Amino acid sequence: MKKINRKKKIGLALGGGAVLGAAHIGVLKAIREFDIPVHCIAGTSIGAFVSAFYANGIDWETIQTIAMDLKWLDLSGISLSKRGLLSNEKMGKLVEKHLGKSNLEDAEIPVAMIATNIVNGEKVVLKKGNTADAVMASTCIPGIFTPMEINGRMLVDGGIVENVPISPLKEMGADIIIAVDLNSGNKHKEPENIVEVLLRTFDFLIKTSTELQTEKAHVLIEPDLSDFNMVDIGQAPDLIEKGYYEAVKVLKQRVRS
Amino acid sequence: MKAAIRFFAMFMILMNMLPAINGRDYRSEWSLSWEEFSAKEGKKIGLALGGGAVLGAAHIGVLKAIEAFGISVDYIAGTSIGAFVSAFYANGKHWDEIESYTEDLDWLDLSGISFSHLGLLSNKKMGKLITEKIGDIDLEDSEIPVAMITTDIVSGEKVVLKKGNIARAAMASTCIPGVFAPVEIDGRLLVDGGMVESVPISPLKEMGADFIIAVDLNSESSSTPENLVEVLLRSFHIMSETATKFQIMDADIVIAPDLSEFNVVDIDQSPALVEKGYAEAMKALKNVVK
Repeated sequence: MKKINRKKKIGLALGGGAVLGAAHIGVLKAIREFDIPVHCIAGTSIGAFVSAFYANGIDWETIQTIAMDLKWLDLSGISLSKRGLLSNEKMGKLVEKHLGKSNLEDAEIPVAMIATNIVNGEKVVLKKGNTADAVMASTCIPGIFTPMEINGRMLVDGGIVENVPISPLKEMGADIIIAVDLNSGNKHKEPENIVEVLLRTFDFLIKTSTELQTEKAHVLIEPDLSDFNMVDIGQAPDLIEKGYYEAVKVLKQRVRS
Repeated sequence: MKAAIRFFAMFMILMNMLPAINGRDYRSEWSLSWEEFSAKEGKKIGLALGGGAVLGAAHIGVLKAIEAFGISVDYIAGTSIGAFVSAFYANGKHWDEIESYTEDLDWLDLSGISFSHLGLLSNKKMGKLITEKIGDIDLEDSEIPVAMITTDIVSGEKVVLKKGNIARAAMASTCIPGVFAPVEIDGRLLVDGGMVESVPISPLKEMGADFIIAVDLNSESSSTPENLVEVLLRSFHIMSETATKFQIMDADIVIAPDLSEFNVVDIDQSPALVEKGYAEAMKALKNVVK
């Protein structure tokens, strides 16, 4: 296995997985401990949410605090709109609260977020424009959240087309790509609510294409999160721990100390 | 493992170039009627009816064409709305009878929404209609052997139902995740088979069919999804379309009407869909006989 050379341009791909995304925060903790400079970052869905903060210089500890406020998939306040059950505004507001009116192109670390054009099924890579809007689009789980309109395009969750966003990092000039895949474990528990039913469905629909896509990563971090559910934010501390542990295990072999 | 995946992908790409060759055999040699064909060649004909929610009305038009050609179907398999239609066809119902049943089926009407914790709507209407028309029977008691495709929502595995209550099997196969609550059969939580095999060709082969007519309803659509169900179905389609393209190569005849101008939820489009299915099936079936 090739060692990670810190002088090369290192790109970080944070994948989708709803609440499992808390594991990304643990990965960021490990990345700091191993002193790995991140040159560019890409996020899909919850990975886009985490990358918005990280790209703007916010460290893992602060992201952890922010994430605890995220009652994103709380279905208690459900209101049926025409195209989805919930509005994804909570997500956008939380981003805005901490980053202000920021644009993707102004981030400290170049950042890209993946969304899906629901009309034609095309992948849309967002690198410019309002950060909160981009996060809202990328995290917009079809059937749960109402699609988000950006520049005349109706966008939903990027996980449908590229759940571990490796391709934008190549375009951004990364030499070495570290990717985090939250959905590698084999789930065996019954889904407990409509969100889990949906996320599980998406999960196995994209499994094969994700396997092909993640082959292109140089370093792949795949924590086994099959014991967790995808909606309960109360699991965040354990998920962070899991992400950290798995990242340390992988990075230990790949980084010169 | 990775090498295997890569090999598989390359294999699939190569396979992609084959259907032109596959189809030619029959097309050039044929000068028989459908009846003569099945008698002389001893071919067992399988019919695969694919998923597509309300677009499934086009299946009824396909059945009309099949009856017009006097094709006798030996095996039938259905996914989702295709499973619903196949329940009737496997039990001696003709196309025009099936058409009359669907008039009342306001299946995807979201106005009567009631939020259960696993889905928005109940799929019971569909099951009731089947029991009412063909009786409370099991799949294995059907006149034509029939299989229905579902997905195990826990493991993501394909579950092919060939036994057990037919109405319940159709309810499971039509159970769009996020819209309907999963259906429990033999301890497994099942949802729409469209997630694993949208055009159900593989069960027909296992059942012994050696000439497969497949109906694929999911042509490209460029319209804006207007409601939650359309958003969901479009998403599932985006994710499964590559797999469907590969699966469908095993069919001898593919009937794929262009339904891009229709939406997937509005039952009022049924007459026009039946007509579309009929016209496309006539065209496709004519191509291969004299």
